[in-house]
Amino acid sequence: MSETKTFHLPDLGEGLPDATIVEWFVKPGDVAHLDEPLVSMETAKAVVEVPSPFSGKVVKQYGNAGDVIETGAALIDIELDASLAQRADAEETGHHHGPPKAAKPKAEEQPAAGEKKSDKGEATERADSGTVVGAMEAGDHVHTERASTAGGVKAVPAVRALAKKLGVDLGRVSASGADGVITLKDVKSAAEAGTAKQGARSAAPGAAAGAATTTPPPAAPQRAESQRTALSASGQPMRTTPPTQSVSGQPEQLKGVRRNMARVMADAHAKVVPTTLCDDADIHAWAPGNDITVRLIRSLVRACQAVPALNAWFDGDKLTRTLHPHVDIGIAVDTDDGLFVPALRNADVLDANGIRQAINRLRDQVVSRSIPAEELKGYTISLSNFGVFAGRYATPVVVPPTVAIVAAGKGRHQMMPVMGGFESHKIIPLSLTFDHRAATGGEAARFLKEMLDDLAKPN
Amino acid sequence: MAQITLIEAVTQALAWEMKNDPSVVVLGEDVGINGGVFRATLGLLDKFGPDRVIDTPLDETTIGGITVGLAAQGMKPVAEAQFEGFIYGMLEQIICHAARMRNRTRGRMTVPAVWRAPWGGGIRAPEHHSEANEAIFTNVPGLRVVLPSSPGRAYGLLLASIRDPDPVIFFEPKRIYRQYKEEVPDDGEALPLDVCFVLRDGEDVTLVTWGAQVKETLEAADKLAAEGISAEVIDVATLKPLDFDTIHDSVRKTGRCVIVHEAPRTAGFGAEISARLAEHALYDLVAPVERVTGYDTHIPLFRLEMKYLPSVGKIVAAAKRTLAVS
Repeated sequence: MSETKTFHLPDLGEGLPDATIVEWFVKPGDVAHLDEPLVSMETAKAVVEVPSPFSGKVVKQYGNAGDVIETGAALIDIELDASLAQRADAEETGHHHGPPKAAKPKAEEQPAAGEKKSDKGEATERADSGTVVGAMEAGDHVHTERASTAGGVKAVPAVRALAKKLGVDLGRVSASGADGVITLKDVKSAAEAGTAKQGARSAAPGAAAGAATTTPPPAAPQRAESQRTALSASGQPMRTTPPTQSVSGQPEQLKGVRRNMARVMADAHAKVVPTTLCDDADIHAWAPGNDITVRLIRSLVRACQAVPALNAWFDGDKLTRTLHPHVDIGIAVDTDDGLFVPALRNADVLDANGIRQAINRLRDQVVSRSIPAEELKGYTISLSNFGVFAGRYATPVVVPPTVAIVAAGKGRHQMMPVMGGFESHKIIPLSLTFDHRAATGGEAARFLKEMLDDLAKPN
Repeated sequence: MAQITLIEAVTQALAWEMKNDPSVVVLGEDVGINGGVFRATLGLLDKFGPDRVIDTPLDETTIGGITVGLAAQGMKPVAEAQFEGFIYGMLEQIICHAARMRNRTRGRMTVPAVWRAPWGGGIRAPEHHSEANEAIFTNVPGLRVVLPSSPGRAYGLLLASIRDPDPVIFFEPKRIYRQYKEEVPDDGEALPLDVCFVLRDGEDVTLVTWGAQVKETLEAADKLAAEGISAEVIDVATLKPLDFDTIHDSVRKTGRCVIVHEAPRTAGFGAEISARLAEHALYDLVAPVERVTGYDTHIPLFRLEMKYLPSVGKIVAAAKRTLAVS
C-alpha cells in the first residue's frame, strides 16, 4: 500500500511569504528522489533549488513556471515508494508552514445525517481504558462536520465562527476550497485585506439573513469565459482581449525582486522618519584616472568613521541603535527585474583596487542572478549612484535597520567663483537621507561635510 | 493528517504549543510519568522533560498557587485538575488572584494561565468525578470559560486559550473524550475564542448547548428534521464572555429557543442566556424559552446518571413545546 504525501513549500530561509516557480525538474509520472532538486524557486532575493523530502512518483504539481506559491501552500504530491530511500518520520526538517490548503474541502464529503451514531450499548473496552474511574464510551468512527450553505455560502462552523470574530461578511469572501467552500484562510485573508467588512452592505442584519438565502453569492473575481462581454460589471464599455493574446492593461501579480521591493519600500515608508540633505562635491582638483564610484565609496567610509551615528542600525521597537565598527555598503543595482542591493563588505579596509574588484564582482553576480542571499543583507549604510542616467538630487529611501543612504546625481560642470574670478568646476551633486529617529541634523551635516572634504582631494 | 479523539486533540494541542512556545509548562497530579488520569499529557514528559511537565504533590491548593505565580512572572502554565470536582481546592487561587490580577495591578500583571479539567457526567464515576460546575466560574469576573465539544474545537480552542493573555478555565467534556474521531490537522491553527459555533442551520427553533450535550442536541435536531422541523444548533463553546449576538441572530430568525445543559437548573448558565433573551429578544420570541437541564440535586451515581442528564427525547419534547405555541 503506497501513501501519497503532499509537500508544502517551506520557508526558503528568509522569512518571506512566497516564492515563484522558475522551473520544475520533475513532471507528473517521474520518480523524485529524496534530497534531489524538485524545482527551482525564485524568492525575493535569489533563485533556490528545493530538494525533495520524499522519494516516489510525482502525482501532482500545484503550479507551473511563473506561478507564485505561498509559503506553507501545497507544492507537489508524491506517492511514496517504499523501495527508495525515505527520511525517517521523526527527523525534524525544521520547516514551519501553515495549514495544508487543500484540507478543508473534505468537510462536506460526508453527510451529517446518521454519522454521529455511536456504538450503542456499553463502552468498548480498550487495552488502556483511558480512565482510572468509571467507564468511558470509546469509538473509532470518524465524523466530519459538514459545511452549511446558509446565506448562500458554503462554510464549516469553525469558518463561520472565525468570520464572526473578525467581522468578515462571508457573502463577500471568495472561496478557495473545492466546490466553493470558504476556508479559514480565505476568511483571514479577507480580514487582512479589509475587503469583506461586515456591515458594509446596506441591508440591515435581520433583513440580510433572510434575503441572503435567495441572493446568489457575488461573482468570483475572474469571470468565466462564456461570460466575457464588452461591458464591465457596472455596464461600462471595456476592452476585451481574446484569451490567446498576452494581456496588458490588466493587473499583473508582482513577482520576485519587484515584489520584494514593494514590501521593503512600504515598510520603510511606514517606519522611517526621513530627512534629506543635499550639497555638491567639487571634484575639480581630481588627478586623472580617479574612479568616481571608488572615490564615492572612500568618502563614504571616511564620513562613517568621522560620524559613526550614521553607520548604524536602529530598532524603533526596542529603541536601540547599534554603531558598527566596520563599514558594509549596500550598493543599489538597477536591473530589469527590479532593484538589488548587494553588500560591499568591509569597505573600510579595501584599497581603491579592492573596491573596484569587489564592485565588479557584485554587479556580475547580480546580473547572472547567482548572488547568494546572504550577500543581499546585513549592510550598514547604502549608496545609490543614480546619476549614471539623469537627475541631480533625490530623496533616497532609508531601509531599516540602516539609518542613512547617500545618492550621487549626475555630475556636471558649473561656474564657481574663485579668487575674484570664475572657473568651470566639475561637481557631483550628493543627497543624504537619514532616519531622524536615529541621528541628528548636526550629525548628518558633519557626515556630508566629511564626504565633500574627502571628495575635494586630488587623490 | 491524523484522525483523533477529543482527548488526543488535547494532547496534540499541548504538544504543539510546548514545542513552539518555551514558556508553556504543564503541571498537575500524575501529568508526567503517568501521562494524566485520562492520558491527556501522554508522552509530553518524554518530549519536553521534567522541567516543563511537572508532577505536583496531591495538593490542589499548591497547583493553583504555583500556576498563578508562574503566569504572573511570564510563563504560560497549563494546570490540570484531575476532575472538575477536584478544582475547588484551587478556587481561592483562581478567584482571589488569577481572575483579578490584571484589575488589581491596573494591567501591569496578567495571568496567562489555563486550568484544564475533565468535566461533566456520563462515565459512571463516583462522587466528585461527574459535575457540571461551569456556572461557578462564569460568575467570576476576569475568567474566560471555554468548553469545546469536538476534537477539532478542543484542539483549536485550547491553543487559543493558552495564547490568551488572561486566565482561562478550559473544561473538557470527558464523556466524549474517546467517543468518536475527527480529522484534526496538527497545524497550530487556533480557533476564535468568544464566539459561538453554529453547527446546524435551521429556521424553526434554536437549540443552544455546549460540551457533551452537543451530541444529544445534534441527534435531537436530526429527529426533528425527520418530522419536518428545522432546528438551528449553536455550540456556545466560549461561555464567558458570551457571544450573545449569534444566539440573538438565530432567535430573530426562529422565534424559539431551547437551552440544553447538564448542570443543575437554578442559576445554571442557561439562566443567563434565558435572561439575555428576555432583555434583548422579547419581541423576537414567539414562545417561552425552554431549558433542558440537570436537576437541582447532586448528579447521582451511575444507575440514575443517564436519567439526570439531558436526553435526545427531552430535547425533542422541549422543542415541540416551543412549536406548539404560535
